[in-house]
Amino acid sequence: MSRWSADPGHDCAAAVAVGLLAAGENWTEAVQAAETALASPVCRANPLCVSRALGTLVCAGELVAADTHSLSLLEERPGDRVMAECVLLARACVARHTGDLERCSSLLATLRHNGIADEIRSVALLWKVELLVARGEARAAEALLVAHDVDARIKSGHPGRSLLLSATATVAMATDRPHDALEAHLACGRALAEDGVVNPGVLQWRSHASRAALACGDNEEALRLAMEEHAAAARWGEPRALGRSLSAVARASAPNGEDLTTYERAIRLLEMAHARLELAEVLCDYADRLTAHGRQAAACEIYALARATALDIGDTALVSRVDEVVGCADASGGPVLTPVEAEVARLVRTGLNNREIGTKLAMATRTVELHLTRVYRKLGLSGRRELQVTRWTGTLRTHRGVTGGYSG
Amino acid sequence: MTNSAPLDDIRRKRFALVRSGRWNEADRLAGNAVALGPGELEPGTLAYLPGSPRNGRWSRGVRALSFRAVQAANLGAGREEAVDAALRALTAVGTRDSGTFWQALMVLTYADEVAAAHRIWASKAGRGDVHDLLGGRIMLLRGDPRAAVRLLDGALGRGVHARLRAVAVAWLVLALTEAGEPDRARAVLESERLAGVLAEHPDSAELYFARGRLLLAEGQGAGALDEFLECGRQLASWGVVNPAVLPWRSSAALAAFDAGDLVLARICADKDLVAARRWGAPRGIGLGLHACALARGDDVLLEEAIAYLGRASTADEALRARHDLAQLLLGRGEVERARKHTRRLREAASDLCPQWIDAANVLASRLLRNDGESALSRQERRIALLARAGKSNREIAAELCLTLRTVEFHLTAVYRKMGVAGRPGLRRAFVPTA
Repeated sequence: MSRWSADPGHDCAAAVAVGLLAAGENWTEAVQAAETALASPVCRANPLCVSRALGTLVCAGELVAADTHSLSLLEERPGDRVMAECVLLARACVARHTGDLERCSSLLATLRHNGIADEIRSVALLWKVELLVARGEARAAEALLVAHDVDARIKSGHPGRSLLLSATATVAMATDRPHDALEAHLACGRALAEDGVVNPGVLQWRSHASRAALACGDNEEALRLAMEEHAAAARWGEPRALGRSLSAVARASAPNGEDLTTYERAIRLLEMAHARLELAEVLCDYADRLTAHGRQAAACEIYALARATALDIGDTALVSRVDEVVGCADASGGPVLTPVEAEVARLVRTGLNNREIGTKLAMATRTVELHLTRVYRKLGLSGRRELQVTRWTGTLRTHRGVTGGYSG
Repeated sequence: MTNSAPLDDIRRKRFALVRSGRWNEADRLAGNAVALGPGELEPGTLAYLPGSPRNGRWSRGVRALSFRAVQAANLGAGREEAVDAALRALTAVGTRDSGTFWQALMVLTYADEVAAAHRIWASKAGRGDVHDLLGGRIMLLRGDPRAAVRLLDGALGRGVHARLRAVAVAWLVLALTEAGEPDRARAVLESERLAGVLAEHPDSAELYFARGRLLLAEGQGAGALDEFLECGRQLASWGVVNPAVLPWRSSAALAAFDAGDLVLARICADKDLVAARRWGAPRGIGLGLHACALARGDDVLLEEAIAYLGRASTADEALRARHDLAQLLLGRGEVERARKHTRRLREAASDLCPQWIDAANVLASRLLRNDGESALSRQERRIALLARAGKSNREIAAELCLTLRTVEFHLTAVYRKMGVAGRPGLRRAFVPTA
């Protein structure tokens, strides 16, 4: 698989970058090699090098750099069709990573596949399948696989077979065939290993496989796959891969309280990585888990957040999943603390007792108690201690927007 | 948010583009609007620019020039061009336009051209909010937090323009924290009603950052981490990636390290260092190196960090790095080197940053109590790290499959070797991770 593994006898910076990416041990050097390649005139003129360097940047989560380089490459070489295809694919990958599904699919539609390497075509196919599934069009995705004769190509040892296997698995999962999905994901992992790709930043087959294993009822296997992915993602040290692997660990863990903390850490990392597609899904899983813990109120708020994110990125499959679970027309109207309640909750978390809070906010201790009771009820907490240790109330503040942040 | 409907539209489009990961297209849209837009506009509506006094009716060419410099600084590439553009804009309008003056000097401070910024600032004597606030920022970056406090406190006391208030408070809190007066910093936040949940404000990233630094100074790693991550979220929504604008990632790495989350510390540190190297300003690189060194327990990286920070930095940042190096060496049992750095820490601290004198004294007393055999064994290190992260002996025993008695035995050895009195001392000390 020439995209990911270095050719013998060819050791330009782009090849080094892609080798470091595949090995998944040294994030910093992989990024630096990719940027060195894009700064060198020789690599910059070579579509294979450009596609490797941009691919490394995208898989390493350096999306701003990928955006900058790809845009200026398009402008530098207006007549170069082959180069344009490589660069547009990279731009589609950036769009997919940031959760702009609409744009990802329109960029993919402009690719004409003229003279571009076969495995790039497989990448495009995989993204298209993912998009269709996200839009709830699993049947169309299945038809796409048939049209591209994917089964036969996998059997014949196609160079991009790991991608094709991942696409097959995605469709299987979306059409309620978890056993087939698990098998295809495991085959995908084997194919990647044969190509020397061990980095979960390239394809997170283990967390997908873990989800499939859960759907098959094999919790032990699900947890094993998730832990393995987490170990590999921690070695690579990139927030998106790590966040996703943590969410897989949380999903496969027993609901013992630790799982919620793991979800929160995962969400934090995915936010940092600007990974809205994964974020939407993980938020939804997190809300499911909160429900299982009996924290309906907290779950309701997280569902609303998941729904808003899914709506924003155009993941209709996830929107309907949320709507099915919540079953209420107004998913956005979760429990919201009043400003006073929020302030009381905040002061409790800083360690003050009710009397001190009363003095600080100029209210009777009894009133503070009243507010607190309401806070516990709204957030589904058992009491003061849980309020102090839970991270969740922080989300009242931090999950203000769709992915937080200032929006004008 | 602005007074003009077309500008509001562009602003909305820009945020949507950033959200979809189209940073460069977003900046081009905003750049064109500034170059062609109406006579007066607030550049801070179309790019992250704390404070952001309005541009006057100067030629659109000059306005576009300084705005481009701000955009380059936010994206964190093309430092020399940004500095050049800022200086050219300054030459064209001088201080007659406070908007341009502000933008140009902010870019110079982002690029670590603090000496140049100071020269220009001092040569344009003036009173007024803009001058005092910029002065405060420059003094802070020149390693003189007390002068920064005087300027910022004075400006706030007189009452600054509403749009500048948040940034004035944020910088004052930073300056007070660095000057070793966290209580006063906390009081400022309380009296401005900015200690609790923050309302949406274009400059809230500055406030979150300052609150994070304050919590870090108060020894509350977990709380600080939340503030820094929120700061990062705010900046991400604006499309800011350059750590020179606000070094939240390296600070988050320090906070994560304090809170015992080493993986998160490493991720934040690595991302920060790569971005800082791309921009190329020494302070950012030094902060990134410091965070990376801490997350990996690497003393060579820390020495490199100190070299960078010594070149361009606030005093506090260089001292913190020196302090962490001494701790690291002490934890490793390299007593002689630890002693040398403790001595240098105390010398430097007595000039500017009294809060580090205490830390230096703690180190010195640990060194005195040290009996020469202080390198922790693997098991001791593992136990010390868990204890430091707040686990009880019972929890540690369960996690490592040991008896309670064994854990107690190891911890006693840890306290003796590290020269700390017990768990509270351990929490403030550095435990080498490798």
